[in-house]
Amino acid sequence: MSGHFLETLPCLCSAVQDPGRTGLTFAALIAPEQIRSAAQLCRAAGYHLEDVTVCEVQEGTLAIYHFDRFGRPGRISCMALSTDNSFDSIADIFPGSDWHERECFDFFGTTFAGHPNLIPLLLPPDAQTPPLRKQDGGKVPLTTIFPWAQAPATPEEA
Amino acid sequence: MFTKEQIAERGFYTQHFEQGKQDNTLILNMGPQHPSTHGVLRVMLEIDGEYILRADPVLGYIHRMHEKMAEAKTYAQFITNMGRVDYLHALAWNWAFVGAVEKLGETPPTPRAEYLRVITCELNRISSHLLWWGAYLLDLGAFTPILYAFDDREELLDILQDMTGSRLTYASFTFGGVVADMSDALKERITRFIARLRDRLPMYKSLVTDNFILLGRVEDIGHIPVDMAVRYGATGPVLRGSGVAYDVRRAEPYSVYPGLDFVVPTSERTDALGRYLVRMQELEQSLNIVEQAVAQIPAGDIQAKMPKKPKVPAGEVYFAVEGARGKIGCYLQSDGGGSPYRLKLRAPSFSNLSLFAELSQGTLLADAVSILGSLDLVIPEIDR
Repeated sequence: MSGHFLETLPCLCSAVQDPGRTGLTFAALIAPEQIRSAAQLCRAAGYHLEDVTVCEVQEGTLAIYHFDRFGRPGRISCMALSTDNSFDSIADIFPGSDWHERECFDFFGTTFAGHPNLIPLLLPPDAQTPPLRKQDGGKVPLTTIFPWAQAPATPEEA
Repeated sequence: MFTKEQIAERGFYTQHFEQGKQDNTLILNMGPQHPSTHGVLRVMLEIDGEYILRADPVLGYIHRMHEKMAEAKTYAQFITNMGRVDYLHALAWNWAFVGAVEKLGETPPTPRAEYLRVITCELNRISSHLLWWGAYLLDLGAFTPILYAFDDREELLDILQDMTGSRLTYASFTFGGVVADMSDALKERITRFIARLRDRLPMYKSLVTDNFILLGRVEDIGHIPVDMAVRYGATGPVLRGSGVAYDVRRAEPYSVYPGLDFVVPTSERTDALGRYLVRMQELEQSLNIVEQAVAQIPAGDIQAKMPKKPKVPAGEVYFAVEGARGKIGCYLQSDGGGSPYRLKLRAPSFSNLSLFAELSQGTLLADAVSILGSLDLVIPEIDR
């Protein structure tokens, strides 16, 4: 536990990162229902949303939110894992995420509950197959890419 | 994804946009073939007389799915794609990608290559800003400046052609270095170009920047408060035109930028003129950077010893560089294989344009054209 403000959220698995190696200062894996709280915390701490992206791992769909700050720069990565390819939208907290979420919807078919206008952004409206979906055999375990997510800290341990 | 029936029922784009229409207003479609959208951007507008009530950009006309290509190609093959994301500042995208791979693989480039990258990347930034300057003024009805801008830019493209092998879609950065060295003759030409542009910039200022006809079109329109920039993640001159001195070269230092002396120009105006002035000052700053880099460049190899296929360990990395339009980010995930597991390209114009819907509310249609120009959009970068 590093005392980072995101660690006030429950069910957290987090790690301080070395920006010289990963370009991140802090990364956290949170429960999908905590995404909006995390976005609100970041908004209150003066962060802006850099991008939202999705990737597929064996455990499910991973939404990744990158936040950074103009005043005291330091990128943080906030991730949530979903098994039904669906997350809550943060478009009302960070309007910039509107298009990013639509892009994720285009590329992965990921839906964002509460999004004001979830229609295709870059692909034609009648495109049928999300192009970045991976075959089951092509997915890797979460810990291959995020070794720090190996031992999730439980609230009891904290 | 939507079925054909859902599409018909819900209505896409224009049909959907029309559903919120007020009485006595007009739905107007601007683009995708409108000259001021610089490429293929479409903006749906609801206008009341000449005033914009609502605007909604429609993207995707030049979408090429670079992120899918990244997963299908090897690391080295994908470098050529990076010259085609933003055709005006291609070398910044080159840098973002090779920088991400080098950072994850822990294979830094040679010192001489770092300087060559700075020189070519900054010259490319100047050529991008010159084109923006000419094209923006063309949008506003001034024809002559673009001829001067292209005259300068031509000289620059000749230099870059000799340093990179191409004139527009550069792909000269490799993992661990660059493909070609700079000869003494080329050094001489770069020095001459710096003197030439420094000579011309005061003329541009007195003829164009200080011209009251230009000021009438750019002053006090398109105000972007800092909070709006934060909410949408705007970066680059769009952010610096609102007084925030945020530049990736300083905020997240990479390469040899920490050793180079330059300032990050800002303007407190927050309007289109503020963004204009920032870019004009950036031209001077980039000239200073190139001048220092040419003077300081060490001798040595231009390419670090690397295996032909880079070995990229499993993991994630985010590498950001400062492009002409703002923060360019490459978020790379590797599973240790020969191609990226997932590559996310963060385009600055994407975030900078996303605030347009809010920014254009209540402005004159003619001012919206000027605001779009002041955002310096490159549509292929937004669509990727």
